[in-house]
Amino acid sequence: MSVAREEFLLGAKHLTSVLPAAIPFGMLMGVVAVDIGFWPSTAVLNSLLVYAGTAQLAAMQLVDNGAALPIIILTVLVINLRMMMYSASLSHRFRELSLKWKLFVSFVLTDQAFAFTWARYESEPDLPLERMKWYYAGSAAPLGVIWVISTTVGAWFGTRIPESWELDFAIPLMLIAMVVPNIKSLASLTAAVVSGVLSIVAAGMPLNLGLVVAAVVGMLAGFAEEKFFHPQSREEESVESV
Amino acid sequence: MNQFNLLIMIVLTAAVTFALRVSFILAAGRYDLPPVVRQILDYAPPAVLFALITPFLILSDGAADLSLGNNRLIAGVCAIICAWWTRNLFLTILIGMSILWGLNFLVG
Repeated sequence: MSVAREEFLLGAKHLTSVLPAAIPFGMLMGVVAVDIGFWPSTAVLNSLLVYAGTAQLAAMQLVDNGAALPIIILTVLVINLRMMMYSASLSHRFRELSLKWKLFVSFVLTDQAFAFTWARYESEPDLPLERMKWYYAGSAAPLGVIWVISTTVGAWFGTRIPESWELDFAIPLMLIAMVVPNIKSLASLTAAVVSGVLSIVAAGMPLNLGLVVAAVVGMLAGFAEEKFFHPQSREEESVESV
Repeated sequence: MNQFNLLIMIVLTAAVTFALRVSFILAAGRYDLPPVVRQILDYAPPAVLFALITPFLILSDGAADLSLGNNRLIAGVCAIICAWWTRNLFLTILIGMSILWGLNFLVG
C-alpha cells in the first residue's frame, strides 16, 4: 500500500470517532435553516462554502433576529478567529506544501482537523510532511462531504416540518450544547456572564451592535479575570510552545 | 431576508472564514500570533455565543422578560443545566424543545 493511501485511510479511520456527533448536527443544521426561510439549495450551499457549524448557526440566529449584514459578517469573523489560531499553529508544519495543497488544507480546516493533526504531531514530532499531508487529507476532507450530505438530508426533512413547532429555538439550544460544556474555568464563565448581561443591557443599540460590544467586553473580562487572579496558570503552556 | 440576500450573506461569510483559515498557512510560518492575542481569543467562543443566546432567551419584543411566564427563558435555563450536567448535544436539544413545547401547550 502506498504511503499516501495508508495515511489517508488512517486519518479517515480516526475521523469516524466524530461522525456520531457530526452527522445529526449537520442534519439539524439543514432542518433549522429551512425552518427560518432558507431554500434547501441555499442551506446546502451554506454548509458547502462556509463549512463551520458554530458560525453557520450564529449567522442563522442573526438572520432569524433580522440583524444587519455587517453584524452577521462581524460575528462570523469573531467566532472563526480560532481558525486563524489553527492556521498560525499549522503554518510552520505546512510551510513546504505546494500552493494547491495550502489552499486545500485551508478550505477543509476545522476544529476536528486541527485536533487530529495536532495530536498526531504530538505523538510523532518527526513525521515527514509527505505522510502528514495525506493523514490530514484523510481526517479532514471526508468530514466536509459528510457535512454537506447530512445538511441536504436535514433540509429535505425541514421542508416537511410545520412552522408551529418553533424549531428556530433549536438554534440557541445547539449553541448552548456546544458552549456550556467548554466552560471549564472561572475566566471563561466570566466571559460568558459579562457578555450575556451586556447583550441585554446594550440590546437597544442600532444594527445589533450591542452583540459586538457585549462579545468584545466579555472576551476582555475573561482575559482580565485570568490575568488578575491566575497570572501563573499559563506558564507551563508557554514553555511548551517555545 | 430573501434568498438573494441570503446568498450574499453566505458568500461573504464564506470568504471571511476562508481568509481566516488560509491567512497564516499562506504566510508560510513567517509570522505568528502574539501570545496575548491568543489568550484573549480563547474567550471568543463563550463571549460571542452567550451574546447571541441570552437575548433570544430573555428579550421579547425588545424588552427584557425575566418572569416565569417567559417559556423560552425557562426552557433555555433547563437546557443550560442539562448541557452542563450531561455534555450531550441531543439530550440538551431534546430537553429544551420538550420543555418549550410542554409550556406552550399548558400555558400558551
